[in-house]
Amino acid sequence: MSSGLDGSSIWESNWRVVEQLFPGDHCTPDKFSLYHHGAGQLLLAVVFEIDSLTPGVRSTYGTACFNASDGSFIEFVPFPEDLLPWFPDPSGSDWAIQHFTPLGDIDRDGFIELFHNAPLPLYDDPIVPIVPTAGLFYSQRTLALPTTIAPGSVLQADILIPTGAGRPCTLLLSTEFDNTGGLVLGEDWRTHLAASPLLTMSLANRPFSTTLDPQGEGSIQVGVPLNPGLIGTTLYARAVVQETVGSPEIWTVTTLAMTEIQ
Amino acid sequence: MLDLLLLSATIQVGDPDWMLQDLLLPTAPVGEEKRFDFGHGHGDLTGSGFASYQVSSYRAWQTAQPPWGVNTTGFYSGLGVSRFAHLDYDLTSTEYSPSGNWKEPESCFLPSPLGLQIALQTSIRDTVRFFDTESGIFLGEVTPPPDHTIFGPIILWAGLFRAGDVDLDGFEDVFAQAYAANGVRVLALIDGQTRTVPWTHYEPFAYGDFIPTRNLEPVPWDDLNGNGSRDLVATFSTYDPFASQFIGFQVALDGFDGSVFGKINSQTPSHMGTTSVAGMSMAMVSMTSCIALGT
Repeated sequence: MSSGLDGSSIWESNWRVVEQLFPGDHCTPDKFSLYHHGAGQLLLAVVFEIDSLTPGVRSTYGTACFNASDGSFIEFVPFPEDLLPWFPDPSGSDWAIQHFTPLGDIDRDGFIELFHNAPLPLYDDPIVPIVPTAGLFYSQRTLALPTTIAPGSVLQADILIPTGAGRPCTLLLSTEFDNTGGLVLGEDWRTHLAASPLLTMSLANRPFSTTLDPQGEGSIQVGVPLNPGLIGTTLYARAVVQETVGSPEIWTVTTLAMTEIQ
Repeated sequence: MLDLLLLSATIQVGDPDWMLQDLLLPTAPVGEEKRFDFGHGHGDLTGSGFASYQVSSYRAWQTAQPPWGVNTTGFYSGLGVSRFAHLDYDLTSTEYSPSGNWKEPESCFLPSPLGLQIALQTSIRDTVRFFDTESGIFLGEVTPPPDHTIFGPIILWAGLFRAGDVDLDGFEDVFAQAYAANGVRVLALIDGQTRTVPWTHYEPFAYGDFIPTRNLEPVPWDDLNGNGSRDLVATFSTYDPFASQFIGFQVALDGFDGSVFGKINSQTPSHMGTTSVAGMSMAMVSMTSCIALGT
């Protein structure tokens, strides 16, 4: 990291710390970018390709996170290795056929987004040697649910939108998912939540709402009915942050979260 | 064990944890995007608070042999907010042939009094074309400069970089890399309003022979010499046959007329592919020092 003022070196960090996490693999740094994390901490995120030297094992990807102020290594955060719930798995032995590129904060939530693409086994035509690929937008988790929940318990949804301090926020839930877009809010905010009685209920009068605190954090509790028939149901959720109280304008929409009733 | 189970079922929001937020699907075999290739961020170009970005894609228009399609690029301001124009910029039947030389398109956005424009260069067309990003209308292409006295005409354009409004006509201009006839790289300014080339610059081989310069990585900076226009620092490297190594040096060019007002030899061989950010930063410091000292 060099000073923008005079070019002097602020810190240097050895990326071998990443290689030490994957002994025997080939670790190649790719793109890097800065992004905020939590309460204003600035991180340097470096995308790494972890290329296994074992035949048949495909490459994986992740970001090595460094403290931007002193260069200390914090952790390695892998990218998801599948496209769930959109698709079960990308095709091909090496799905990362292009680089991850930073797009900037395209959804105004205070975090950067990354673009990537992956081959999908759709409409493939043996005559045309073109592999269909999807364009993928990766973001940092801004909505968290427990992975599982029991009937009769309280589902807690935690939200973090650093740019959303003081803004109203509503949790939308559905038992159905639509990989083509689902419910579209505002101009073109795709939630991928498909129509269901639960979605209708969470939209009507917006019962699951809160106001984000000065840090942009908030929690919403939802009671899960004590109904054993719900076991096996997956709940899909997004939280919608409004511009201001009473405004129909949408400030941003959180990442998708899922929980399974067990 | 219970603690472990509880921990495994708990996800903390705010962890630097990557999630798939949304995706663009290949929608149909013919007439729609069959593949999405590159995404690029361009900062907030609209003042909306959303970062603007560009996604390049390929539409298949014919599935019979030979495959026939069109390269497209889409402009967006924000995830799910306002979508700009969708440009179809290259028609080709050879793009995905095994011998195809398709590469990522070069582009830069240019704010102007007539709206946001884009300068675009692809491997299919050896020119720089300008489009209106809102309507997608083709505005025109760069008019090549007169033949270079030594190297002949520019035959291939490469990198494009926002130069700011160097001639103060209200239209942002473009710093561009280009290749002259025998492969020599040159730097050029493209006027954003007239789409002409006011100046070009090349660096002759420093040892008496015209060997093409390499690894030319122009980076626009602010006004370094104080004449009101954004300037350019370019790193060149060239092979020193006597030392059997690559030699790097930096040249500062006035954005307005391309005149050289600073030059340093970093004595740091650039590697073949690119010039490191750190190297450029150090070059910038040295260049600033040279300028401050009047050297």
